[in-house]
Amino acid sequence: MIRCIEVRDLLLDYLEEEVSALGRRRVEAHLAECPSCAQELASLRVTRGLLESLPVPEPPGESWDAFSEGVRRRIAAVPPPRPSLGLRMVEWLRGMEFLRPVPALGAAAALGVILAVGLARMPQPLERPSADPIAVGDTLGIGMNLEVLRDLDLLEDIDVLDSLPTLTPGGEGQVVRLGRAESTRYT
Amino acid sequence: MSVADHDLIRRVLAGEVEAFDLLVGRYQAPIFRLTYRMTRNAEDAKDLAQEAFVQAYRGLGSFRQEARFSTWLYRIAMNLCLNHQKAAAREVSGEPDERLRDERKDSLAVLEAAERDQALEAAIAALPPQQRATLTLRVQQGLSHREIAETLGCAEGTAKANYFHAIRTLQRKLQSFRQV
Repeated sequence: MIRCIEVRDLLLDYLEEEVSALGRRRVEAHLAECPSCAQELASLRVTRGLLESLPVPEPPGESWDAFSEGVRRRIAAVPPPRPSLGLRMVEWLRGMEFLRPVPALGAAAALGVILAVGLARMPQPLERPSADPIAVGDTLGIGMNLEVLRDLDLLEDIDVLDSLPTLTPGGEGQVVRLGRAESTRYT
Repeated sequence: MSVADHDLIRRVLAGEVEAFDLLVGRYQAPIFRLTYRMTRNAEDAKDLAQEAFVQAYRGLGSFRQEARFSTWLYRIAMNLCLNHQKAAAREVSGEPDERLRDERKDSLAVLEAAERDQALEAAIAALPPQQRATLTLRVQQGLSHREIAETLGCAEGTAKANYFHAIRTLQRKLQSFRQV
């Protein structure tokens, strides 16, 4: 069980209902068995009650309206207050709330520029050879010399393809498979 | 629904000086109770309370509205009271303001109550200023320990300890009036 010395430290908080539920239960369990602490609590309650009921007079010789009037007279000689520079800045920033998306937009724009510049400066990837036989021929620059390649699609079905290596200027070509069309280029 | 303090302050700062009257009306009684409890003299209390409003009006332009106006006003009033006491360096006479001696003295019970109040007033007046300020803000103004700490510019633990010591001191001094 909680000791008297601990309870005494908690009594004021207990009286003002500022102890936890657990603390409250422990204090109450102690008070139920300790007349001395219970009397201490009663004494504190009386003291606090007397303090709360202590009379305070009205302002001397006048009503509260007269008090207000007295304040009014005294502040009449004071220049009207104006917001300080710091306060004006704070208010101005508060009024600019609609600009809050700007940093995000700015960051997005900056990121876009960086990406664009980065992409522009990147080495261009090698153009992938087309599976189109004509394009292959154009790309390799050999179509001009080997016009027969323009009709390569027509040649797919005939055996002439097998004899293509013999058509190279040197006569020693190497067949390279290029995709599904199985076109042929020469190295 | 009453207008919020901060709205009234904005109106004053925008040039509507009359809005300050509403703030005065709202806080004049608690501020006067505070200054009276600190000075125990109604005339001084009135003067200090009015001066607290004048200083608040003067400094309204720099009041940071994150804080509560009441806490700020209490702090101004409390500082005025503490400065007033230092300047006057008055001895505690144990005699409360004459206005507290009401006409209830026609019965023994009332007389006893008046004497008890007088003893309590004297006991409060004899407290160290920080304890007296804390006690007043807590009991008469109903401030939390945190608000008291903000008002007096001290740690919350200090405010709580001051309150605890003040109550204990008064409890001891009121032994003869206790009914239990």
